[in-house]
Amino acid sequence: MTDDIQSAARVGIGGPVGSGKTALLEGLVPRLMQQGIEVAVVTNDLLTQEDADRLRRKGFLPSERIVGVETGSCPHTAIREDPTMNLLAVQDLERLIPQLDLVFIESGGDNLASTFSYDLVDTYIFVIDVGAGDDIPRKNGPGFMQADLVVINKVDIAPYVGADLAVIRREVAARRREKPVAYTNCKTGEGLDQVVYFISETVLFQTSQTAVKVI
Amino acid sequence: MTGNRSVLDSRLALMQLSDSFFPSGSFTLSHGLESLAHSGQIQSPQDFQDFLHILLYQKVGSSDLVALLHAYQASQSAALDEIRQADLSLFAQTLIQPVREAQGKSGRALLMVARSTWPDRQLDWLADQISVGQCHGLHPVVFAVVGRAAGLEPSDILLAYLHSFVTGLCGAAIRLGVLGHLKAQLVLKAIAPELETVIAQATDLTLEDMWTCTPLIDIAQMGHQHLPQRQFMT
Repeated sequence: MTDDIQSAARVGIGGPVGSGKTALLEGLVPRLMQQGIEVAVVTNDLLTQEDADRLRRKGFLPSERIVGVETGSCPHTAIREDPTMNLLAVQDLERLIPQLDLVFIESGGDNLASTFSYDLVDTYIFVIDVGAGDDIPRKNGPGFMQADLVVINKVDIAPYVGADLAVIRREVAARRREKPVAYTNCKTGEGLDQVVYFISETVLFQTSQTAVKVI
Repeated sequence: MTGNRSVLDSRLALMQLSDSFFPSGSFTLSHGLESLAHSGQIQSPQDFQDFLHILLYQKVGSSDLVALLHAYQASQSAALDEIRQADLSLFAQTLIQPVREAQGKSGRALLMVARSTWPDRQLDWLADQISVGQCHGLHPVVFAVVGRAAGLEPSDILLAYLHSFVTGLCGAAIRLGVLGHLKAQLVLKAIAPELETVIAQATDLTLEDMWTCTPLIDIAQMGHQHLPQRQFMT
């Protein structure tokens, strides 16, 4: 069907409800566009098209570049066991926008076990936030352990929620070993250049001039 | 031995294709159930069973299965124009736009996975036809060609289609809180003897004879996109 159509790079963004997946996209998309990257987004909301609508309201992407996919209350199925509806959404975007470089697929909020099928994405990012507690890395969730990049978001609120960033950094390094991690505050943009660098290097095969290497 | 192998292959293909684990996006469809549950018109396992009964007798068996059967026969004799005709006839028969779109999406999803699983020239042809807009690729028609490519007998394809449809809806009903997992199995058991009747009904109809009469469900499908919260595509 789409065999003759150029494929865009596909990046999954997963993580628990409220961890900052949509906020991460709101930070990443403008930065990538500034570099001339053609971007589109597929969102998987648990209910309605809340995240898709939120991104549309921001106005940094034309609305036809934001597609919401209903997941029948099974967000993990839609990105792993049966990602066909997401694949169709990506194919439709590729057909509509042939110059597309990159498609983000944002999972519906799920748990620490959610992982992406590599039949759907080329790489994926797992987002957790420090508000969920500094013991999250110790739980060894498959999403956290297997993701190609982990984003620890909302680092600014650590002192207010009793989370010790030093503990998180130590546990993350012990469990993910050499796999990359970025510490972000998506509201201020702190740490986002590291995520941009990861995407540029991993799936776009280019290195940003301004980006900072992931630690 | 070869005959036994062939029968076994066919039975395994039947199980593979009708298994809810087979990835074709069906878990995103409620066929109007979400709207009806939201409005309180379906609240109990009996309501759900009645809903299934109406859908099976007054839509699936009188239109979807008819198109499926004709597409299968056309596929067997490599009559590609007739496969297209079954698709176009079913499209014309399906008046509710969200239903047509869902049928097309789930057909494309099935075709995507089937082409990778059972490489077949007719499946490639179907994909090309959809790509250039000559065919809608509605789910029952794609299912027919996939079933033929997988080596299923016609009676098995019809059963596989109905089984997938009914179990998919039971899954949706559980997630919508209409019934629990035990009641779902009882509904499946209760509805099973009726599937044969539904198939017999479809076998007697030509493409020109296709009909549907599910006004309440049609209205629910039309109103679905206006629900304040949605889990399902339909």
